[in-house]
Amino acid sequence: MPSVTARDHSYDAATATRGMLRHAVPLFGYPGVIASHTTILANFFRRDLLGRFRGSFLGVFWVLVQPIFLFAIYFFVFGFLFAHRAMTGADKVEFALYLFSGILAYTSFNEATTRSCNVVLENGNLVKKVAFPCELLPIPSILVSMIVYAVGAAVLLSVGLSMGQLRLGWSTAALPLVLLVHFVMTLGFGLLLATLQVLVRDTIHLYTIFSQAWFFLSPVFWAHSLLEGKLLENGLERWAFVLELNPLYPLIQAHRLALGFGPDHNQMRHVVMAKNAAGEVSFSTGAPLPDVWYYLGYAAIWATVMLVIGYSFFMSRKRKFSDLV
Amino acid sequence: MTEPAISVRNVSKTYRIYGNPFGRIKELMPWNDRPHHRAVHALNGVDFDVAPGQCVGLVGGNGAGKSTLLKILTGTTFPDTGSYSIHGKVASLLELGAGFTMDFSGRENIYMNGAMMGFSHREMKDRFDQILEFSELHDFIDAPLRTYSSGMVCRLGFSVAVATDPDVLIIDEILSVGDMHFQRKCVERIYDYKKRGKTLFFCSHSLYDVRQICDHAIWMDHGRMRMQGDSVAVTNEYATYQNQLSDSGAVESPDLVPTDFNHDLPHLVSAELIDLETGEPRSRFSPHDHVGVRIHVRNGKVPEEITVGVAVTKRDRSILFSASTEMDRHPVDIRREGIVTLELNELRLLAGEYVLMCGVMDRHGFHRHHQLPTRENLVVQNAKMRDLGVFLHPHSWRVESLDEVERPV
Repeated sequence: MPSVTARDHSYDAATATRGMLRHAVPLFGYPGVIASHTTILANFFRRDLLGRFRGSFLGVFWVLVQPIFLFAIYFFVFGFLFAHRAMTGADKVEFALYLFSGILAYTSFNEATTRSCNVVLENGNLVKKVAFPCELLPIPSILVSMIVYAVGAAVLLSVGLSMGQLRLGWSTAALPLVLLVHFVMTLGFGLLLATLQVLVRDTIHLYTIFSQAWFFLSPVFWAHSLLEGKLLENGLERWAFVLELNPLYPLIQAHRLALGFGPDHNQMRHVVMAKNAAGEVSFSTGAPLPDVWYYLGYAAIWATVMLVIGYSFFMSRKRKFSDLV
Repeated sequence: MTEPAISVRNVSKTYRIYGNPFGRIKELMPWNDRPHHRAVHALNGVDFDVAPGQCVGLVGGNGAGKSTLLKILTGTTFPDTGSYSIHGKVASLLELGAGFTMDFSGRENIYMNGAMMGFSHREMKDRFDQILEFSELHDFIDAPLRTYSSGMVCRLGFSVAVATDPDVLIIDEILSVGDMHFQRKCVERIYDYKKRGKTLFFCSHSLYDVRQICDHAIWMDHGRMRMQGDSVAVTNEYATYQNQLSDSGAVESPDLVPTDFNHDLPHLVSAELIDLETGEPRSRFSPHDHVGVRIHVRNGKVPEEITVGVAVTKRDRSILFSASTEMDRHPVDIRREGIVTLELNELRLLAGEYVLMCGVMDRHGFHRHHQLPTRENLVVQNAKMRDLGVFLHPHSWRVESLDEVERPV
């Protein structure tokens, strides 16, 4: 494919931008770059989508199989074998919806970031031979992962609403913003991982292992109240913030609240510990957790930080890509 | 003086080759005291200017830095030191099919490619017919690209590149693909493009192409510029150098000069134009001169019956005439090596520059073992004649009047 640069171009090694911080500056132009390449992004998006399902019997249906399968397993293990939902006072349906919403948000993030690892290497030909803004490369797979999310969320909402478990309200209005923050955070991590993978090919293996741990450290199947209960029991409640530092923590919670998990949902509340005279401990649900705007703001801070880090790291190494892929 | 279209100032680039992946990490450690890589100087102080409207050919062996230079000018890789600037819109074709999506149709790829170059859908729509017309892929345009032959993908790529009407066109060894008909079209398009004052930067292993298309050439050798100047002069120097290398056995697999050949099979050592009267090499003649094409041939390890042929072509590759020992039923009895001379007792070509391609073939004159252009192009000057065209054909005139004879009254 021919590549064209529209105007005069020049480069001088002596005056070229160096250092990560200076590379953060063009971040302000990034939305413009994205906007002016919508056609190409749409085409890449289509290529990604078609490429993944062409020739398979069930086609696009496969995008839902993974989250559903994960859901089935975790529901069996934690909803049935360990019955950990007992402490949160949630019934089976409540737990199922809670688990499924967590899996949707988590797998969407995880799938897009894992795919981002290889995105520069896979498009090596483009990077080497065509003058093209390759900071756009992680975007199509993020969009694909968000399509998976959208399909899953539609299933979740239709089940949850018909069973009266989920309720649409003002927090649902935050959903577009939640998706935007989700996109920005995924992009930040994606750019970071894509750059690391070009420099060190072991990145994707390390990340796969790390993401296993990340899954369990994020509120996918455990509720905040469960964690809080455990900490209270051991007198460690002031350490709760450590798990809340996890960027996915506010993101997943924001997803849930925007998808209609209200404060009446047992798993979206604090827990209160009481001791009777005999020293026996009992738990009951307490005040509701903060609302969607709190988590959204918190996640937005993380997303911005990650985008600045990921983008400036990517841009500072971008010139070396064609020599390294 | 006009501003150069391309100006490259003291550009160097070094690649670091690490023996193992830990080398890179070891070098980052503060206690590291020695390099863990091998440095490859792909470019070393390259410095040149290309004037607008100039057509420059880049020649050199494998690993000479040609591709690195083209990649730098395209903007996909960057020099370690030095600077460059290009004025005007640049289109570059570095690899055939790079960036095309094989699952998409030709039509979709044209639009996608356009989008990548910053053209809107409407702008591409305006150019679409022109692209289709030039590529001649009417029957395939809606079929996925993976069903195309490599030549067809190349045609599509070239058609899109020229349709964007760039000011500077950078091509890496692309014309070698595609059939003769399409190649000729490309060459015509390039001439037309040159006529409009646009700049072409071209890299090729085919000295024949460089000589035909370019007026200026740069010879790269191990990252340095060894020579630059008139394309015929540079390609001659380069070909001579390559022949010396292969004769002394310094290079195991000689670079493609001008097409790959096997030293165990019959091949040409040299081909030059001579003045038949004096036997001295010469390249400028007038139409009535006696011209010889002296071809030094070496037979293969296992000697075989060979055919030697010469084709006289115009610079647009059309063949004016050809001669071969097989067609003329003249046996070539050469067991090891020898000189075969084609004698043109009267040249009869009019002013112009002609490329003489010499070749050694099997005894049927069918399989070409090796071909080589003569060391210099044939230049014919006919200052004193006013004839037009290519040939000075032997002729005479006869005049018969059909006027009615006036009878005396």
